[in-house]
Amino acid sequence: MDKNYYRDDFEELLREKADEFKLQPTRRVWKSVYNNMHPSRRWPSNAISLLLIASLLFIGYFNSNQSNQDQNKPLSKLSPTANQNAIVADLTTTSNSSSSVNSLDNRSNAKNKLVANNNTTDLQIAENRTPNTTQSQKNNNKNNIGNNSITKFVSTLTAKSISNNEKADTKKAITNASKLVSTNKGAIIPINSNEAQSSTNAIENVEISSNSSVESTINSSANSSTAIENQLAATEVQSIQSPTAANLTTINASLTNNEDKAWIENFVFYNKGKTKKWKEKMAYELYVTPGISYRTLNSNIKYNNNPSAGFVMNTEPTAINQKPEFSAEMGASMIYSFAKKLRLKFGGQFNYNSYAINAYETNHPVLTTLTLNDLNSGYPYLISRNTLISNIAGIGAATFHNKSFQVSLPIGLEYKLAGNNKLQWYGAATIQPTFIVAAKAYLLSSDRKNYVADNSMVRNWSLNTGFETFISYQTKAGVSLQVGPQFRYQIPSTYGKKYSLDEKLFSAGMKIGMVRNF
Amino acid sequence: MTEELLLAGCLKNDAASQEALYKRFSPRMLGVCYRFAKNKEDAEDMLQEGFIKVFTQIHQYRSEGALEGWIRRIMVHTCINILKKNKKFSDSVDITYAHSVHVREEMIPSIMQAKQVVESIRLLPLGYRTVLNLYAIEGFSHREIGELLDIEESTSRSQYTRAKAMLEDILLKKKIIQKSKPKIAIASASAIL
Repeated sequence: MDKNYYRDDFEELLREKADEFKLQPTRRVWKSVYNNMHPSRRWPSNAISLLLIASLLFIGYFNSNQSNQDQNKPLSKLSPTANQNAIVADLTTTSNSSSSVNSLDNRSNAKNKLVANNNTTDLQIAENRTPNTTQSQKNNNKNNIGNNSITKFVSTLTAKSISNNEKADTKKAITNASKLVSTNKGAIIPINSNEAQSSTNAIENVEISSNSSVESTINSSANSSTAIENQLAATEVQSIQSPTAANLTTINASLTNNEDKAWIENFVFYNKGKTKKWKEKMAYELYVTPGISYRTLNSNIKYNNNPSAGFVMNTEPTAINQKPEFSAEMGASMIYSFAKKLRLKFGGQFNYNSYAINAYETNHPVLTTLTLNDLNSGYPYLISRNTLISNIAGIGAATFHNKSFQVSLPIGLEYKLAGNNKLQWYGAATIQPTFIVAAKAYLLSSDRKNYVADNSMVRNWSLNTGFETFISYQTKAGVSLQVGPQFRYQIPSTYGKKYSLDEKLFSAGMKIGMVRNF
Repeated sequence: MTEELLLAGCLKNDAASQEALYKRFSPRMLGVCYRFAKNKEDAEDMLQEGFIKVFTQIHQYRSEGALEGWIRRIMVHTCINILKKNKKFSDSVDITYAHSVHVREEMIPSIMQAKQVVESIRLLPLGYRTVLNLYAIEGFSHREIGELLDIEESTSRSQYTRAKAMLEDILLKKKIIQKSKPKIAIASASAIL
């Protein structure tokens, strides 16, 4: 390759073009700088965000019902600028605060409105910069209204809902849309903000396209322009005013102005496709928690010890030989970072609990009784059962395993206690609605001398709570490894209210997990 | 508002003066960060951190040079520190082997002049891009670049030579520049279109 040119010239070129290059930052940047410099005036702290969780969930549920009703409501009689300001404020509030939880529905609605209203505002700026279109360009201008965001704006207007003021705004918006495209004919094609593209790809979409590509855009937008024309007819919009030929020269000349270039760049960046920011806040986790499980055993307080029934219940479980056994949890969850130090966690999990019963086998069936509660009267009664398992003596020692196979849906919070980008320390708590898929239960007899295998007493549904703390280490591959102790406790008894003993399972283990962002 | 008034207000931690200073310099500074960053979001993060440093260290400004130049130096150092902290610099294509990266013409977006050059620079591997930004545009010496990036001065020189050759190749392929003796000239817009 011939490199016979001055090296300094090349570097001078790079320097010159790099200095010319400017980008307009989003509002988020200044707000973050401001919050850092003036922390006393910071937005709601993490402590208040805890209260926001419950209220925002309620609002999200409430709004999901309201949003269906709001679609048919007339537009506000405020000016487009005021509308936009309100929506920008709404979008800013829901998107910029690091401590707020966003309803995805609210954000997408606000974003769509913002896109439409940004078009309106920027189109108004275009109106200020450029005169009206020529009469001869009228049809082309209407055809050029194929921009999806403008279509969306117009399509939200219904014939019933448009007042006289709004009709004028509609006319102004459509007029300005025409002016935007006409003044930029063959130049910039605005981007549909709903397209999910990276910023680099978005810049690629900002083409200085040839006339043929603009014409193809005009042709492809014919259907949407027809729909818009029908709506305009329904609302009795007056005809677009005609610019003079002399003004067109001014329009074209203004494009070379650096100020216009900057405006065009701003327009493109506010309407370019954005990466889904929810992806940056979402992660998924896979984990296992091997450990040991055991139980607490107490009398079922709902039953009354009634001496007149002919027996006295031994209310204290005595002389039983039971030991903890292996337990395990395996699960996957989604993690959503809604605040700087707080993360919401929800997922699915499979649990296995077990504890051992050391007893004896008998060489013949033994008739024994189980004490149950009469839920109507509150008094105990006995039922008879045959069993081959003795708690006292038998032909040989044997170990029996009380097992429980469960599926639960943990939902909870993780709080960052300390750490930096690489190494972090978290504390977490979850509540876990649980379904008992299968169980193997051995029930103590009334006199505590025998065990009876009976799964019918085991509940189908239960509720667990979990507490854990772990260290999270961020690897170079972008995966976080987590390890730490975890404790899970069952809130209601394993057995239904009928059985005279309350058993509550608990397990303790070491959680090993892996977290990865989307 | 003049720069002196802005400076006086920023020294008092006045929010209005800070915002005015930010609005005045942020577009150009974001352009600087954009040349170092992977995408616009990362560039905004660098801009944010840079301006926080500007406002917290504003009392160190000695009026010996232009305020913009001082802010720009802080911005460049902030960008480098973030790249090094996130290990994006070391995790990038090894600059020793980066010369094997081939740039296809269709990878280069067709955009206006300054953007074309900047986007072409951003096509370079991270190591090449950083050295080229620092030497050719920001005016650092190879010795300073070596200290900043923890590399040898000779490595900086050799990587800059390769980066420049790769960038020239990109700009020539896209007809953003054309070879002519004795100067390089920007190809006309009509030639591009």
